[in-house]
Amino acid sequence: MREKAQAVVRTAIQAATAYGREDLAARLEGTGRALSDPNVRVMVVGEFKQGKSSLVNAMLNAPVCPVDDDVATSVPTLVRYAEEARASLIRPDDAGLAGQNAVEAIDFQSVPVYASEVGNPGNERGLLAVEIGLPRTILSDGLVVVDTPGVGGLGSPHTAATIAALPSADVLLFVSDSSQELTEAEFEFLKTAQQVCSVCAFVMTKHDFYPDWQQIRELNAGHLDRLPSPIPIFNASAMLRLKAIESNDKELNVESGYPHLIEFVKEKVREVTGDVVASAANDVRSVIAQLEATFEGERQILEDPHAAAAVMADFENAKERTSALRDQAARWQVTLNDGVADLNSDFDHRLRGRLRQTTVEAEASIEDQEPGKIWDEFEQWLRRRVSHDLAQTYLELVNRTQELSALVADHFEDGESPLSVHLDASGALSTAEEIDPRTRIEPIKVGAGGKAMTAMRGSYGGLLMFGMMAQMAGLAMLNPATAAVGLLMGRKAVKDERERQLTMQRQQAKMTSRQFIDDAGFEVGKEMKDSLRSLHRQLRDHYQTRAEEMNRSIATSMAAAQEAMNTSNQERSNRLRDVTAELGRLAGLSQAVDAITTPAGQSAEGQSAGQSTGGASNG
Amino acid sequence: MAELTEQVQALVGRARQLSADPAVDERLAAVQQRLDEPLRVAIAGKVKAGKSTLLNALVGEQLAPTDAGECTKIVTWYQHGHTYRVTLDLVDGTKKPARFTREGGAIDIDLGGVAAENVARIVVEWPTKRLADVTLIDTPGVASINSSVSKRALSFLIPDDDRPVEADAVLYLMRHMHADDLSFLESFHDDELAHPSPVNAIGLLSRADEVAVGRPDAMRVAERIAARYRTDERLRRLCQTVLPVGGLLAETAATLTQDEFEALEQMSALDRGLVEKLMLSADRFVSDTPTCSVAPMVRRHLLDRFGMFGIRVALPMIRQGRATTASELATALDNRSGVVALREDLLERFANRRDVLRARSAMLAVDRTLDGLSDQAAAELESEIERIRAGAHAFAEIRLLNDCRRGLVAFPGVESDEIERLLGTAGSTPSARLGVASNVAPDDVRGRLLAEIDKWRRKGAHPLVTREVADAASVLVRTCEGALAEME
Repeated sequence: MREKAQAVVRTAIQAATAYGREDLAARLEGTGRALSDPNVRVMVVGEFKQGKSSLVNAMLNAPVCPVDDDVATSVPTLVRYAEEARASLIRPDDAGLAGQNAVEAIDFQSVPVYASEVGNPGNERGLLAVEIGLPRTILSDGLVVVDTPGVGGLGSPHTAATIAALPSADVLLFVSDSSQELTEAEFEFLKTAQQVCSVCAFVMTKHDFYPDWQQIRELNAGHLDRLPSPIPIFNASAMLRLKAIESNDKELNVESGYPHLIEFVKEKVREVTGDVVASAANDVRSVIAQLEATFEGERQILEDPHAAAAVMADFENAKERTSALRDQAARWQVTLNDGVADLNSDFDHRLRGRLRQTTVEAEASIEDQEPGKIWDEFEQWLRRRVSHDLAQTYLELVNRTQELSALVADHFEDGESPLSVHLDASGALSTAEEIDPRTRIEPIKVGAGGKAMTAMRGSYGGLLMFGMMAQMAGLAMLNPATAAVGLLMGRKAVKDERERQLTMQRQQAKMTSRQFIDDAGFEVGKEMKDSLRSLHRQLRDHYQTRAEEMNRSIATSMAAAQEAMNTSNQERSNRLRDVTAELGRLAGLSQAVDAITTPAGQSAEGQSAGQSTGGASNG
Repeated sequence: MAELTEQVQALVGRARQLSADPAVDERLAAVQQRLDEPLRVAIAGKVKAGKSTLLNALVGEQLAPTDAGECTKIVTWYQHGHTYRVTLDLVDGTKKPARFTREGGAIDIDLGGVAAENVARIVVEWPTKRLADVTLIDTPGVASINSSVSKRALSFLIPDDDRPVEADAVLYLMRHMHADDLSFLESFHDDELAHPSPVNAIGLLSRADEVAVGRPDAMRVAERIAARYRTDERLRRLCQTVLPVGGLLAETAATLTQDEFEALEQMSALDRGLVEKLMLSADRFVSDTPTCSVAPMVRRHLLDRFGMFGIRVALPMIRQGRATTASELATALDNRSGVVALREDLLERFANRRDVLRARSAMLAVDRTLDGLSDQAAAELESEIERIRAGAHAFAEIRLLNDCRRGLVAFPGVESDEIERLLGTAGSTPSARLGVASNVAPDDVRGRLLAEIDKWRRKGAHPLVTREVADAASVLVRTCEGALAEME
């Protein structure tokens, strides 16, 4: 489907170039690029030792991720399609070039050395990831499976790293084994994860081994009901799956639960691909509509020279409006600028408000207790709390930006959109053209899958990482006077000394926590402002380009219409034939676009039915 | 040792005289009484770690109810009594006898309409020899998704007000070591010696039969993992040792019935291919299989009792004639489960130090009452505590052990294992301290002890050693002298 879409886009680019509209062609080039990046990332997360690596291996029917009873995965492992099996390491580049990572090919056999705690405890080698290429059909649609280090092990930095990586996932598989119901930590993790990644599934592993898995599953279903949005549950027994493949036993394969899970993943991959294709189709449609408008106007005048005045008047009218859209003072620009300014101050305020509340609570708890005794616990609490503050503010920011983008798009859409005006006019001239609602200007999506999300995703990970990892000054341990000293000083003096030291310690603890919150607020405030600014730019450029395109479309249309009016009768019939032919071609392209979007659901379902029967053998 | 108990008895008695507050007096009275009671060992851990199962295995009876879901929701004490009795201690301080039934194993306690949150604890008195020396306390899981249950466990194990810690020692069950486990262990350790102390905690790698998801070598894998944890710096300073236990196996071994054995025998006689098919998954094991002569209901029962691992282990034992009777199978399973080793360890590490642990708890309790006293009284008690603490060699040993574990004391050229063994981590008999077999001739042991004394004297007297090392050496000298005296 992706290939078909790419073909359509290529044809549309050719058409746009042929009609001298390299601006539209350039836009479609971008669309083509988005299509050619097929990656759909399915991330496997969960606590350590729940069977994540086994899940990945069983899904792909290949022992790619190291599995051990004791030793855990320490580096994220990406498995993607390749003609032949290969493996490589990805390191952050020393030169510090943003986005440039050093890749080093390694022997396929030595993956465990780099990916697990055996050869790389706590990821001391400093790898970003291990990447594995595998010739498996299931991966050929662009599916990338990511095995992650477990959360909650002794090397707790894993947790932060995993959470930071979450926003880059298209689909999240949360793994927990059937030995017990979800724990509080797991539930909390899942709750956070769901806010960042919209498509999640809960996978219960090892159900072959635990007689009471059904009871556990029901308990888990009860817990999952408390999540803000519903989440499907799957069983997956890697052991049964491998045995099933070994003995080619279909029934056993079904019992392993993998066919269902794989079907789900494939469907999600299709959906994500479908979203990309749909957005590409929209781009193409909007380009076709603009090209058609030009020819349509010309054709009407050629057909009936008396309509010329009316058509020209419509064009004039439209031109005025498009010019207004392009103008610096255009209303959408005002909306955008005001909106961004509002967001800026609003979020500054919210962030500060949240952090201030946290400071108050932190100081209250320091005042209540001996900071020296509770410091470790307190520090963890503070980190979590600040991370939460930042994440919440961030998520609100994303939602509000989304609303703003839709608001701006409205300016292009309401009945005043130049294109729809023109199409109305042609309707009056009884040319059977109807307004295609799909040619509307899409607001830029900031949610998952949206173009502008990339920048935001990155900063979200950064925010969480910051909260978890930022340096917090240690609390110099002033141990309140001990009993041994007591023998020398006498009870009263000890009490006083104790009081004094406690007061000092509290003072210090307060300062430390305030400093931490301040730092967090400062760094993150800047981060948010930056991402807001970059978003502002992206939105502005996007709509500016759209406005210019329209303007140019109108100008071209007017020029064409002008020419049509001056055409001699003899040439007219020739030109009319040409123009009708061009319109026919565009209509053909239009149909091609419809073909890649509308029947997608049906054909995909047909495919899935065919594939699900061969679940065990598709490895 | 008895001397220590007497000293602490006197201390608590004096504290009671000095305190005017009746609430404090009541608390101290309980402390005083506690000095004569069996050692209290709490079984703690995250939810579903297998705490109740282990308790049953240790008692040798199915007492505590267990379930696939979260089960224990109230702190429950299992202590020795002359009759079977269950009492509810309510939050408001009153006691209420509770009715209970016992059908097919675990006891089922009827709270009699009292809400769980109003019950501070349940006390189960049971006349069994296994509880004579030790009171076992089953606690709800920490990190439960039901946070009020977690809170109940935490407030019992780590009281946040000035109540004394109720348990003398703790068995901490964990599955794989989780960061939460570590922070719990850290917070459990009282601050009496100003630092966390490994002296009263044993870590258990529980549900060890599950680590390899049912492969027959599970226990060996578990032992390997436990060995790794034993050497982990962070764990070393928090608990004495880490042992693997398969609670379910031990529980079943302790309560194995003849019917169950016969059913297993019947299974082992079945066609191997059929058994292998059944053993593929838990679902298949209990499925309707007409060709299998053992009824699905019986198989379901076996699965509940043994788990997949237990059945996988038991069948070959019976088939190969290594277990021909129910009691042989029980012994074999018990050995496999690691609970035998745990019982020995409990005896060695805790029971032998019972007096010290109890004295320690009592002194802690007195220390916690000091703030409510007049300065003069507090000073008197404080110096008395300090005197007992400094005078009792057992405490010096504990302190040194802690320091070794935390890496504060190190002798050049001496393994810390050797020092720890001398301090009694492997057992408190002279031969255990020396690390020699128990059948070595007494004269030989004596000679070795004298050699040790000489060695540590020399090390302590070396002009270049730090004060800590010199102090440590003198503690070790005294330990050896004590062992020598014990042999006379």
